[in-house]
Amino acid sequence: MSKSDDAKRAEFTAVAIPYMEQLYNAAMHLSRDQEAASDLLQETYLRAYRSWHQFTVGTNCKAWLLTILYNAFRNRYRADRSTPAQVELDEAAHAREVESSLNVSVEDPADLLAFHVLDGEIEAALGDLPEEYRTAVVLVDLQELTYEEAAAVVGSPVGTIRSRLSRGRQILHRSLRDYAERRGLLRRK
Amino acid sequence: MTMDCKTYQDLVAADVDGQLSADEAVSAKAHVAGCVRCARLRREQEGMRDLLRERVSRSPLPDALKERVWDGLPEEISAPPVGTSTTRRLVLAGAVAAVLFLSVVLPRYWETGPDLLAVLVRDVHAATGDQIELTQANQIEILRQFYNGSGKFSFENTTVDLTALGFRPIGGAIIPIGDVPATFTVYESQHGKLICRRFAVGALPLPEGGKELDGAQLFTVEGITIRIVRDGDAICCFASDMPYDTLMAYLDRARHH
Repeated sequence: MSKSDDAKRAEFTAVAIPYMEQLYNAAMHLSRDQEAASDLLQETYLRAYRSWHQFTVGTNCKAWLLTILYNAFRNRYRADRSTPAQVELDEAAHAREVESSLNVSVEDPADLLAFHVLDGEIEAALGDLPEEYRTAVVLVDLQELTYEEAAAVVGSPVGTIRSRLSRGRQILHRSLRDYAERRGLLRRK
Repeated sequence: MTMDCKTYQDLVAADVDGQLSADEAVSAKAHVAGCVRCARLRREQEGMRDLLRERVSRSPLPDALKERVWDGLPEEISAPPVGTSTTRRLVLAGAVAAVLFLSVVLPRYWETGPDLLAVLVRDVHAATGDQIELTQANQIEILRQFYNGSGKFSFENTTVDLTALGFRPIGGAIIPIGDVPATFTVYESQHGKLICRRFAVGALPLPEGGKELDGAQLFTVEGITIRIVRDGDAICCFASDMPYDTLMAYLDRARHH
């Protein structure tokens, strides 16, 4: 016997609605625009509500919602000219990135916190990440999905998430180091 | 396995997050212990992860937006597509011409959610009791259909060929587990039947507990032996009512084949 609509609505309210703020933050970090994030959030919850019969209560609702959100983001905003051009660093470029980052006179990389980077600079650096790396960082570091869950959200193998996360964090580190250098807190060797 | 800097640079995030396989973790640890640059890279990654989690702001959800989202939801949640859940699974079978008939008992599986172990136990009973009409005998072909249809992993994943071990593939199809697309293959040997299920990593929560053996998780449920292992970007489940020692001997030979 199927559940009544009232029962399903109550279930949706209890299970899916509590994730709304987290989904909003994910939408903000992916789209980098408050209005776009609001539209994405509304579209995500509408789609989730309509396909609630496909969700199995007890499984990871946040990951399920993030999958819907990510697909909506990709469909609506990926072609947007305001998003930066996709940059897939080639192996040589990535190696140069890593080499460059290691030539900074910082005693201990943990002193990144001692760079006194401003919160706004971290947000800006995150927003400037190429979308594929930004997505990996948002899903794993900010939304705290497992690698497998993040891979399922974007429809890629786990190995792809691993390498994109590595590169995304590395690019962020370099960006924040550059901010610190411009403010005279760091010197290159 | 020894690891070089280039390899480690791609794995450093997973190393920091404890997401490497046992073999990878050993190799990574050995590499980092002997490489000053990669050791520093590791510290940078860890610091960056912690910085993100501690410092990236969480925007509060505006009340007006929450109301707008809620008001935008329709009055009724839409009903499932016309037909029973069994019919939906038949639709998912795609281009497979023959109609796949499932036991009338099957719809009751899903009332409590796709408990993977329970699904596998019932799969074995259904296969053993010939309650399932299968259409394809070639697992490569099943995987090809899956990949071209609704699957998310490449059919070029490792395919365990059990025919060399005396198993005869009876057939298979694409039969979802709950709403998760999954392949279903049945093999037969002189000792009994073995079913194999594959679905994308992350698509289903895996059962906890079980005995860990050679990178796989082993369970025994109602006399059915179940082996769950990760195979690239797929999860592969073998289940059978064959005697435990017999099944393990077969699977061990398959692993080294």
